[in-house]
Amino acid sequence: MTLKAEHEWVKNGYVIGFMTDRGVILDLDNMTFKKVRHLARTLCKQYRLEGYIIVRSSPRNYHVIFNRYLRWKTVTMILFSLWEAIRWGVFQLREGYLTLRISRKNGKNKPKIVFKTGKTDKLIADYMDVYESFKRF
Amino acid sequence: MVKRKLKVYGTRRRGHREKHYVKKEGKYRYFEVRRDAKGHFLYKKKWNPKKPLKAETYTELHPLVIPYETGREALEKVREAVKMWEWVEFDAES
Repeated sequence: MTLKAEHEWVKNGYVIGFMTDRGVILDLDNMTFKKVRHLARTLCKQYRLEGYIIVRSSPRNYHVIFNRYLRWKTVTMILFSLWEAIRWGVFQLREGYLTLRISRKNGKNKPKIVFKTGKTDKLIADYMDVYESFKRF
Repeated sequence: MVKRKLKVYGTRRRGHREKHYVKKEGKYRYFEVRRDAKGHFLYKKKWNPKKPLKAETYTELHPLVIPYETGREALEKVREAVKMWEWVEFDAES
């Protein structure tokens, strides 16, 4: 078993990604659900992010979406305050926006929502809108 | 309303140049040919050396960015965009 999650290219077909530069989203790989929830809860409290959802993309790999709309400067500041997200953050910041997968990829299933808490009316609503639309795609 | 965006990524190809023998003229001419993922012929267009192939006829690695306002609109736009391209298998060395 490899402990380090490697970047995986799209080998066949296409992948649809949710893009944003208006709020914080995280891709946390090779982590337990407990740790992901702890990190999300800490960030949510520290920066008053109003609420969050945790989405499981594959076993031990999770996505976190926070509700509050923020400026890009604040988004980068929050992203780099977390060493677990720095590697992913660097690649995302090069493009100027953050992206999370919402469709199948290389035989992996679509991400599934596993935990939801707090307000869900801003960035989470945007995410849920496309997530629901592409459920049967 | 703020324009939201979706990203569609993968390796995509729209067509490529092929040489064909034209019976009537007794010459070889170049055509822009598009094939599906299995290599089956879809259509061909005359290719003119003065008008080179567009950038989109080559294999593209850059993502497609699709702006949308509602989820349903996004779904329709993505369906259209995905059909336009041939999505090919790609295995990176790294």
